[in-house]
Amino acid sequence: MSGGKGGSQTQQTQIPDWAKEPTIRNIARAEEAQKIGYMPYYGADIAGFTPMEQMAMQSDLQSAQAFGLAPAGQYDAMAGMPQPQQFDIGGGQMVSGYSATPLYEQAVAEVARKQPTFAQRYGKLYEG
Amino acid sequence: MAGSAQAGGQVAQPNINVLASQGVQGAGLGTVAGMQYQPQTLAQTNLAPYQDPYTQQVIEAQQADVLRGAQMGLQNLAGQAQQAKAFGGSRHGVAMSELGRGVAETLGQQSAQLRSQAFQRAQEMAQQDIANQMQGAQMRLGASAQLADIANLGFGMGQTVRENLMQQGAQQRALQQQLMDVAQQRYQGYTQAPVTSLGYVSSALGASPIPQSQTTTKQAGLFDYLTLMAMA
Repeated sequence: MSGGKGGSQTQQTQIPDWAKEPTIRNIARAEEAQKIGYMPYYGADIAGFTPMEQMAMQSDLQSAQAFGLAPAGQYDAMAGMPQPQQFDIGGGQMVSGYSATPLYEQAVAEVARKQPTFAQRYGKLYEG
Repeated sequence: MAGSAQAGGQVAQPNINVLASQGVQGAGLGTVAGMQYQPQTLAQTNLAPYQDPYTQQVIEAQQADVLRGAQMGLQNLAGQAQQAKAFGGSRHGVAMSELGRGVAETLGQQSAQLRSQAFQRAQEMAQQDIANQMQGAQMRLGASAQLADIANLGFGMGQTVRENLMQQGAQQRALQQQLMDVAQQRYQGYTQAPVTSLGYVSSALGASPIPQSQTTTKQAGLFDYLTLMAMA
């Protein structure tokens, strides 16, 4: 702002301290939050078939056997289906279902094996 | 139908699917049998079992009656011939011959008539049997159709019950799935809370009137100084 023949004029906006301080702290908090990596949900994802549904499926199988559409014998309609886990819902009550956690963890391990560089970079984002 | 006995004294509940299947099979077999049914003809029928076993006895009794009458007739002729002092004569011989011819003719006619009646009666009985067999075949065909209807009804009942089981089970599963979804949503809220809370400050600042003070500084120039001097 060198002064010329007519001089010069400068304007400066001042933010009050009571507004400035929380903003600074908020940014610092965002930087802290940024350090927290992905925290997956490890609980139950998919509800398992209920006993009544299993009975209906068994009935379908028996029907198919009775009409010669399936081989005779003691077959379980749920054969080939994964066994559901029991999840505690409190009060001594359990709910039957499946969690995608094992598949998710397998995928994470697999990407670390197949893309180690990227996986390391990813991990470093959350170091310290 | 009662359940079948199993080892350990347990009784297996009848399975509607098996019963329906058996019904369809039975009805099919019954219908095929009905389609293949060939009604018996009278010409192919052995009439011997239908013959009256007493026919011969009836004929013999009839013949005995006729012969007894003939004997009485011969005795009358002999008496008449003696009174006419013509016993053993030619007229007596002609009369006896005439009586014998009539007796033989009567015996033949009556015997033939009785045997014909017996044959007709045997034919009628055989015909009745053929009609009974046809009626039986018709009833079996009707029973097959009824069995098919029952089997169809049973299968439909089984399917309805099965559908109800599936629907109720699905409702129960949906409730459990909802529980899991809510848990997952709340967990997402938990993990997102730090990020979400960052916006609170911005929101508060945006909602609050912030007075902005402007400081204006002016650096005087040559013209300013000349103006000031002129005014002095």
